[in-house]
Amino acid sequence: MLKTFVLFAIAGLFWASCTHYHYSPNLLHTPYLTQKNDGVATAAIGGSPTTLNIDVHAAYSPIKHGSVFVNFFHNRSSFERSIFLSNTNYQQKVRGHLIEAGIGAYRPLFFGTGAIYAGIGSGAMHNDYDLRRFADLRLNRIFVQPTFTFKNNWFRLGMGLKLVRLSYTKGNVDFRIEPSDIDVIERLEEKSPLWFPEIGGNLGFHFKPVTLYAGMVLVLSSQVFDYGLDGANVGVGITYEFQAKLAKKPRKNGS
Amino acid sequence: MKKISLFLSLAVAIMLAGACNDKPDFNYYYYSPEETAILAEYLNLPELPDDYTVSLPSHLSNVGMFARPVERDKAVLGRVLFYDTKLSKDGTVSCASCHKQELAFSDDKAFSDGVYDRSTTRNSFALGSVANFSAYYGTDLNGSNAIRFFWDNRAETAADQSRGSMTNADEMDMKMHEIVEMVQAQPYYAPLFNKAYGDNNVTENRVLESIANFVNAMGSYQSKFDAAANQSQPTFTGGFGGNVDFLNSFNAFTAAENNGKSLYNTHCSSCHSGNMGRPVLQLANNGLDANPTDLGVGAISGIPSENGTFKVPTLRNVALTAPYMHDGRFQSLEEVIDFYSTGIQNHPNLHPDLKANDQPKKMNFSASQKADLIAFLHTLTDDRLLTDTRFSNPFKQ
Repeated sequence: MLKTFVLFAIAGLFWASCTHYHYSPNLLHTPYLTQKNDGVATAAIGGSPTTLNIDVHAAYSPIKHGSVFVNFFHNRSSFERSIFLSNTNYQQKVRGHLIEAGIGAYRPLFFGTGAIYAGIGSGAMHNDYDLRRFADLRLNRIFVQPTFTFKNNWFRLGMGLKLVRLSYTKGNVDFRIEPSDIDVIERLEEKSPLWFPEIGGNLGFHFKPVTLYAGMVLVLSSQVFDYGLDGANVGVGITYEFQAKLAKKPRKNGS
Repeated sequence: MKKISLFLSLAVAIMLAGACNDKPDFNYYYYSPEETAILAEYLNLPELPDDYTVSLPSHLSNVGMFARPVERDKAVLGRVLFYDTKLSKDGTVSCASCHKQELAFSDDKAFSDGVYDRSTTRNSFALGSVANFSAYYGTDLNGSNAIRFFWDNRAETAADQSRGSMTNADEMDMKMHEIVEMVQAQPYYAPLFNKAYGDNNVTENRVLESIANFVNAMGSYQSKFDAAANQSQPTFTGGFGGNVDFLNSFNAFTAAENNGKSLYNTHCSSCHSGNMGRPVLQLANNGLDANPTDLGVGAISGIPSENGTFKVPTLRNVALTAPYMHDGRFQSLEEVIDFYSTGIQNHPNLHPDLKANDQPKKMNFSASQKADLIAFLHTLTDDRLLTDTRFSNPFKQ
């Protein structure tokens, strides 16, 4: 299992270093909730040789079999480009974020827990092409994510498939950026919303009450190449698991 | 289970709600508001720059013609420079004065008007007589066979050609440093230089390079001839995947046009090119005069065998570019064909293809043959070039 994971991680790093201008996926979170009042809070860092991704995730089960969650994702990258038909090189800088929230349902399944989550959120990708040339895109993301998790006293293993609908709502684009990028953005505008699946998972070592884990997500679509999307995110993180104490306080007599 | 169903229902509701009203609303900008205000005062430029990418049809690319890349922002700047009369000594002449778009970038006068009512000494060369400027001029794919500029082939590059006209006393009569100063003084150039070069520093090289980018995008490759050639079944010759057999009749041509094409291939194409691509000959004496006063290429090279020789153009848009020859002596295509029919003069340097038994050839075209030849030459007209706003005068009149 570990060998397979390492292979996937290496493939992910390679995939992630291809293109990353207009979308970057956050890690595929699989909250290990098994009963009412379970909660998790996660922070992770990851990316590729040219990208830095920061993931923050929290989930809580307020009712039996039901949960709510929030995600925050920040990504940035910097890489060398050449001005079209010129020998002049420059550093293109990309900065993006995504904030989303959703709900989920879970129940025991086989030897672990099956769950399904649905979320909605919005974000932005800001591309700085140097020479005061910018391309800013705002995006919305909706997803449905079935997952399967397994946990015991020492390990955490989660995997899932995220079905994503990615729509670009607003764009503010300097027409001086590279013509090939203008072409991609125009096609994005025409094609939006994009639909694609992401697959991912994580493996962690549990040291009560925290879990140290490695996770990854891969975008399973050739649209990664067509539209300048980041194809993967690989990261390591820490998760704090808690059991909320929400029992009602007894009322005082006579009050 | 009920709770799970409730959550799933909520999830679907979220998806549907989120999917509403998120069609993209993208804004593309090129000039800043300040730049737009300056430019709008003087120029009619589109909000976003035109695309000057050239993609030649297969019957030209298959014979090795490829347009060199054009830098869009420099071409936009070059367009303004090309039409700017301020770049001449008396402020009346621009490149476009002698290269008029509606005439395939030629002039309808034998000798064009220069500054202070001066006159040029040769007929304006039609920039639109080529399939594409950058694919025609300069070297071929092998880096050899460089096609030169002007009737006497004295310029090697488009920049040399532009400099030659700007500094010619009979044309624009400027020194290059005066051009630079004049450009610097015009407020509408700063935004254009900023876009093309990242700053508004005006130099001679930048001026010439921008004009070269503009003219490099010019050309005619959407004439009736091109459409008919593209519809023809290519024959594989081991080259780029199949060449059109220009000797065959074109289905899209009338009988007169096909007959004219056949006559052209027999009598003209060995010099002017059968596929209207790159020229077959760089220079030739076509027997205009037994004792020419204008020595043409020979006056530049000093080589006796080149006396009385001139650049041999391809004939795209030839129906629009009268008068003809380097001195504009023929007012119509009929006169040109009459000349080749019976009027070729002997000269020591007369091209061999125009000789028979060491005497000037008499092609002796009949009246119907002349009409067919003219019908064919009209198929070389590319109306698109004449009205393409990317090449039109950007100045507010």
